[in-house]
Amino acid sequence: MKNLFSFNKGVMVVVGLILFFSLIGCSNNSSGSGDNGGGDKPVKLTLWLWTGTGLEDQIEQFNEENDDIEIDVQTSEFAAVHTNLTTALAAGSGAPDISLVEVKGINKYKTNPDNFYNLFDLGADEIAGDYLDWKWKDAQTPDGQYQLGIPTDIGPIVMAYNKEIFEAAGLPTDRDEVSAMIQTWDDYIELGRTIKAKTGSALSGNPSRFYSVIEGQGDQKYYDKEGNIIVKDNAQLKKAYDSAITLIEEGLTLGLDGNDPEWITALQNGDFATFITPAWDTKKLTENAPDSAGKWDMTSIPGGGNMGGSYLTIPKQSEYPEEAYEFIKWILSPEQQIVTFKKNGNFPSTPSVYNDSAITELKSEYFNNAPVGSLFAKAAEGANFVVEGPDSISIEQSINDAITRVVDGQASPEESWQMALDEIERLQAR
Amino acid sequence: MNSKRFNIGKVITYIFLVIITLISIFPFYWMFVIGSNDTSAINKFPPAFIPGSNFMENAANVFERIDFLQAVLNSFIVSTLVTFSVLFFCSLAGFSFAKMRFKGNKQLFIFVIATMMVPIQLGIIPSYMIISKFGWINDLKAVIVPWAVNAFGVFWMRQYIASAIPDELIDAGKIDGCSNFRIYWNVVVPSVRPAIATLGLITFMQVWNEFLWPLVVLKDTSVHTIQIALRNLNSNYYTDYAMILNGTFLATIPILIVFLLFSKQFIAGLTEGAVKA
Amino acid sequence: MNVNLKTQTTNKSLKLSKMKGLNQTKRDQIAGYIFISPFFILFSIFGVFPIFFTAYVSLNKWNILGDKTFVGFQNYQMLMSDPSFWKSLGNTFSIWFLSTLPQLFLALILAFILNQVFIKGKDFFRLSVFMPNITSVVAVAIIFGAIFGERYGILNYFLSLVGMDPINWKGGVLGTHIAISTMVMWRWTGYNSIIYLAALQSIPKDLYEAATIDGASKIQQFFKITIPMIRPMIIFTVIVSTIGGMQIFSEPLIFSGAGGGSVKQGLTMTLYLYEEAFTRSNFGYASAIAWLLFIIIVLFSLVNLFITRRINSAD
Repeated sequence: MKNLFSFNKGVMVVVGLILFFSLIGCSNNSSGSGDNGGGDKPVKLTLWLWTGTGLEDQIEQFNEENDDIEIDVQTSEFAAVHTNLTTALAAGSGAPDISLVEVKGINKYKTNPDNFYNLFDLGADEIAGDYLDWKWKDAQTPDGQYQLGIPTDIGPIVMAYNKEIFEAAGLPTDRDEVSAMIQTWDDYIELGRTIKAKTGSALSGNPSRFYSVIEGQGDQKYYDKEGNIIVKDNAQLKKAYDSAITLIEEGLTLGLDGNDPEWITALQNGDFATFITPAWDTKKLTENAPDSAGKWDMTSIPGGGNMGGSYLTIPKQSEYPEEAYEFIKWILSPEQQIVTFKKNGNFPSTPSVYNDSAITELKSEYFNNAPVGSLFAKAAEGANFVVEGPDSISIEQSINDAITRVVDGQASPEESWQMALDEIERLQAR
Repeated sequence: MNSKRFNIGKVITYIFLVIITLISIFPFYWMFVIGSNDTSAINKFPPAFIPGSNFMENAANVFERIDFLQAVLNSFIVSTLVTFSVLFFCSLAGFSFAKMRFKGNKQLFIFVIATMMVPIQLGIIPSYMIISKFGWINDLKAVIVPWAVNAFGVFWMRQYIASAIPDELIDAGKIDGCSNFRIYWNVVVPSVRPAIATLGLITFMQVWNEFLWPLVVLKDTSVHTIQIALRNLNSNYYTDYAMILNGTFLATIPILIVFLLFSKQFIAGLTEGAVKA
Repeated sequence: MNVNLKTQTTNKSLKLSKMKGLNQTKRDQIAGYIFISPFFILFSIFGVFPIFFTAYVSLNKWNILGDKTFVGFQNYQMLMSDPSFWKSLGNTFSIWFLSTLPQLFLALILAFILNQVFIKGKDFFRLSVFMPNITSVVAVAIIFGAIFGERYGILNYFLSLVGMDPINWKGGVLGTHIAISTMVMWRWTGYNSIIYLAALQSIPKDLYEAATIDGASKIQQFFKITIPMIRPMIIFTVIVSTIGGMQIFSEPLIFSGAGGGSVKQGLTMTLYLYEEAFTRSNFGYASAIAWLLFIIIVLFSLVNLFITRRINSAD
């Protein structure tokens, strides 16, 4: 007791100082969005982007053409944009006026749409027709009442293939003939067997990529329309999984993670023959193996499809939703999307421009002058709307882990699949 | 003294040191190798081990992509302020815990250590709430003030002062009529120079390399620290390792300079200081 | 704020020393509190709230983006039957054990050597030993990835030269733990030896001189003089690296990714709680992990403190 008594003064000092500092804290309580009073000053909007979107020039143009709005871009890494946005939403302050969000992120944020403005309230229904229907719906709550984002780019899936390996395996190298040869995924696996037998090369570097493409071609994925998890009962998933397992068991894949530098080494060594890729990922080839220009060609995959793509959203914390919406409407308009495509290769989500000469006539020297624009456009048409849910990211992770376990010999394919199902079930309990 | 007797021992010791040195320096060297090649060099198998000729080109890319100098300046401001403040407050607190008799000394000290045991990853969101309440988002204060004194430094200085400074020295000061602060400033600080230099170096370097927290609170380019700026070299769609490692290499040089500045302070100081005082 | 505080404290203590009315003990007491107050002030502003907030969150089923319901200790109960949690606990301890003990021992020897009078080029060696800790995590990630790659890794390349089969470092539990521990040791040994080196400066040189005259070998000096003399600093490094090791985050993240790998071979406790909070939005569950981790660290630190004291006072 005596202890406590003499400790009092120290406590007083501490408490006094806390009060002092908290007063300072409260007195300059300004929000992160910037303080724009009325008057002639332009409204300053913060915009979060991740690196490599290629939108900077257009934003500058917008700032020059609009006296009343000024866009302030803040760039971070892909993952950081999402964790920072989550942090700001959870903390209740510090979110930007506009944020780029990837499709998987949108599905997570959709569970609590109130964190964002309903773009329908800002007039989004007027422009809905400009965008691919499935892409548009992906940023909508299941009841169709709440629109969280406007689509930026999409990722239509095509197949790049190494002509030299095809030649060595005695296969045709012409892109139409190759495409005719792989009408189904079974054909694709068969192709792998031939390549393996004739050249010893693998068909693919990364088995998970193969899985995700097939998985995405079903009508449903992890969730049904009511939002129930259907992983266990969805035959499409098991089919995709089994196909990936076939690649692994027959040694047709190198079993690498696509984000691992080892994948790039394999690419440079020419250790795999095909790369199934969404539009935004072709840079993996062109930038990492510039010497291989002309060695690669490109063609369609069975069924087409889409992988990834993003949205621009307006968090509720913004004080200027109208201005933000005005900017989004402009930069994601069909006219501007084609500009972005020309500059950076982000494939538009607005089908009206697919007939634009910038797309139809686009050929890539790297891919042996393949008409990449029309290949992407064709693949985009094959894509369909698939319901996603709040836990799509971690479910996908669980299944990818299942594939990796088989690659690493940590479990048999059936065991591994069961482990994934168990884990997904456990995650739901939380 | 005993040079003949320890000859073999010395040779072994040197060999040991050289091996450790090679292992320690190699990644830094390799950073330079990749930073001076083009990106494909890193992915070749076996990879490149000799510096290439693209250093300036890669450096130019770094400077074009990010505001390198501004970021280094920000990091320098943050690291320097935090380091000085940590050195002062931690050594003061360490002295108090080690040598001053007040009630609850031991309990409070244990409390200080216990605060280090709280996992920081989850603190991000509540800390963010506080910082944002203060209006410090996108303000360097957000990464300076919370780090101005830390448990690690207090713990370190307390342990060092406890073992390095005999009580008699303090008592002698008191008999001379010195105030507690004067004893701290004139007796303790000069005697624990190696500890202060070490803490200074460690603090400076940790602040310089920290990214988890700055990433959350410093989003505007004008307040980016160097580690955050470097992250923006990493495009989402394609990773130019040569450029990234070049930037990383350049960003490490300031710490090397700081190390060399502190270096003279690491050794000695104490024995002479203690005897003289 | 720094400047303000600084002058405040200085003024106060100067004033205090001049207050004639107070006796020495009382003055010492007050000065003692004032000297430690900066830490407590800062902690009460930035540290207390997060701790209590986390405790409160851990009692809720709390989606990080909004919804929450109070569930009492349900999160903790679920953790008890969560295999991933136990796995992360096992991994954390395994990596701690593989990396910390050898690291501290090696660091002490290294510091002892660097402190020898006969060593030439001390500045250079000191700097090189410290280099790993300066080298940025980004570079470390790339380099260790290149070393431990299965197909094209440098280490497996050397193994193949001596006719051994490649090892899948990333895929297996043991390989992952060894690789992560190597990374930890590589990054932190020099750091600890710099700390020990500072500690060694506090040992009066005449002690060694006297021992040398008495004919004690270097090894005897190491065990009989060095270790007992820097006991507080050894306790310091043991506690600090226990805490650091239990909270290990960057290295496993770099090596195994955020999920910790396909069989969660690299999933440590901090990685697990980060993943739960930011990937799966389970803020409540993640907070419960954080609190359990805190309790585990406290207990484990006490155990280590006890053992360290026993070892140090054994002879």
